[in-house]
Amino acid sequence: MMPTIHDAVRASYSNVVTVYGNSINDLSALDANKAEISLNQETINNELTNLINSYNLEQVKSKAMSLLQATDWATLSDVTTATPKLINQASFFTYRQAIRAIAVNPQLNPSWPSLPTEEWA
Amino acid sequence: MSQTGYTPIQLYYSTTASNTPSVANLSLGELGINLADQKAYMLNAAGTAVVTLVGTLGNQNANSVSITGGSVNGTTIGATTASTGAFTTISATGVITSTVATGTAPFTIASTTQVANLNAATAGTATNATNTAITDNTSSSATWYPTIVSATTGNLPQTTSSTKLSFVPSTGTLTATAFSGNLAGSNITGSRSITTGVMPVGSVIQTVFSTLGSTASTSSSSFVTTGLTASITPTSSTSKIVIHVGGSVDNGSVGTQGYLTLYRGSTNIGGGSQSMVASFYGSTSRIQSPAGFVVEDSPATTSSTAYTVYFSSQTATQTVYFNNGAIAYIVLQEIAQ
Repeated sequence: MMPTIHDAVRASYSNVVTVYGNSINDLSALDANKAEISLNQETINNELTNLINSYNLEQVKSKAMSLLQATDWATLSDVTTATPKLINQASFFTYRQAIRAIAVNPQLNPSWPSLPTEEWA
Repeated sequence: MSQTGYTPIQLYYSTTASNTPSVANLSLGELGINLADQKAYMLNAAGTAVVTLVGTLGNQNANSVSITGGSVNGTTIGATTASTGAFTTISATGVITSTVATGTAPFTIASTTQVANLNAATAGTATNATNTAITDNTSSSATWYPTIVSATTGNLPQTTSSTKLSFVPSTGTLTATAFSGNLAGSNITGSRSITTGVMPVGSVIQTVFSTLGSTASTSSSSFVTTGLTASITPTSSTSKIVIHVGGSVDNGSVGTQGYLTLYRGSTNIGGGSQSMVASFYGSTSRIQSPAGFVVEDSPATTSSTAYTVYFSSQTATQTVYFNNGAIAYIVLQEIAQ
C-alpha cells in the first residue's frame, strides 16, 4: 500500500509507538511510555517523499515483472516451429528486452514499450 | 289686625332683616319680633341673654330639639329613632353604622349596577358575587395558590390546596402533585420539551454522537487511545449506557493482529481473556476492514462519563491502524431502567 505519513513518522523516529493525525500539521507521536515525541516536519516530509518514491519504483518493477510474465509464452521454442507459428518473435524479444531493463533499473514514470502485435503463419 | 273700633295691641318689633333685640331692649316676660326674619325673642330667666323662640329648626338649640313622633314627608317616626325610611337619597359626611350583628342583612342593594369605590376588604363573605376584579401578576417570585371549587356551577366557596397545587408568577411554574390526561402532542401547545420525567424501561433518554476523522496507528502491545471518544452525563445512576462504535481497522501487514476495546474513563470495560471487545487479523494478507461493536455499560453515576475506543497490536514491533483515512463514530445512548 502507498506509504502514509504515519509510516514516515515511524521511519524517521525509531522510538515511535503510536501516531495520531492525518497531515503534517496535526501529527503527534508517543513513545512506549506514552510520552510525546517532538517531531520535525521537514524530516517527516523528506522521509515520506523517499518512502513514496521507493513505493512507486517498486510498483514500476512489479509492473515490469508482470509484463514479462505476460509474454513468456513468446520465448518458447515451439511457438516458432509448430503450426501456426509466431513469425515476429524478434519483436517480442525486443519488447521484453526493454521491459527487462526497466525491471532491473526501475525509474519513476518510465517509457513503457508498446506490446507487439502477434503475427502468425 | 284688630277689630274695627279697637286699638291694636302691638309687640315690640322690627321689619329689618337680621335685626335682633339686645338684652337692654327687652324686659323679663317681654317679647320682641323680627317680622322680616319671622323670629321671636325673649330674655332668659336671669335676664342675661336673648333667647330665640321660633323660626327654622336650624335656629333652635340643638339639645332642645327632639322629634318623638309624627312623620316626615310621610315617613313614620318611631319613639326615639326612625323605624323605617324611604328617602330619595341618603348622604352622610360621616359613618353610617348598623348595629345588626346577625340575622337580617345590615343593608340591601336591589340595583344591578355596580357599586363604585366599595372597599369591602374585611368582608367575611361575598355570597353571590358574579365578577371580581382581576390583577395581572407576572413578577412575584412568591408561591401563589390557584383557587378551586367543588362543582362546575352554582354559588360556591373558593378554596386552595396548599400542598397540591401552586404557582410562581415570575417563573410561570405550575406545580401539581399529579396529572391526569393524555400527553399526546396535539394536547400540548408551545414547547414540548420534557426536562424531567420517568421514562418506560428501555427508553432512550438521551443520545450523544461524536466522530473521529483522524488516523491513529500504534505498535504498542498495551492499549492506547484511538482518539475516538464521547462523554455522557446520565440522568439517573440506574441508567444503562449503550455504546455503538463504528470505524475501520488496518492490521498494517500480513500476519499482524490488532485489538480493540472500550474504556470508561480510565477503566477498560472490555471482556474475555484479552480484556478487549474485538480483534482483527490477516493471516495471508494485510487487511483493511470496517469494524463495529456495541457495548452495554452500567456506570452507576450521574457525573459526566467519557467512553473512549482503545487499540493495540498483538506484537510490539508490528503496527496496526485505526480509522486509516476514514471517519469513525461513537454513539452513546442512556437507556431508562
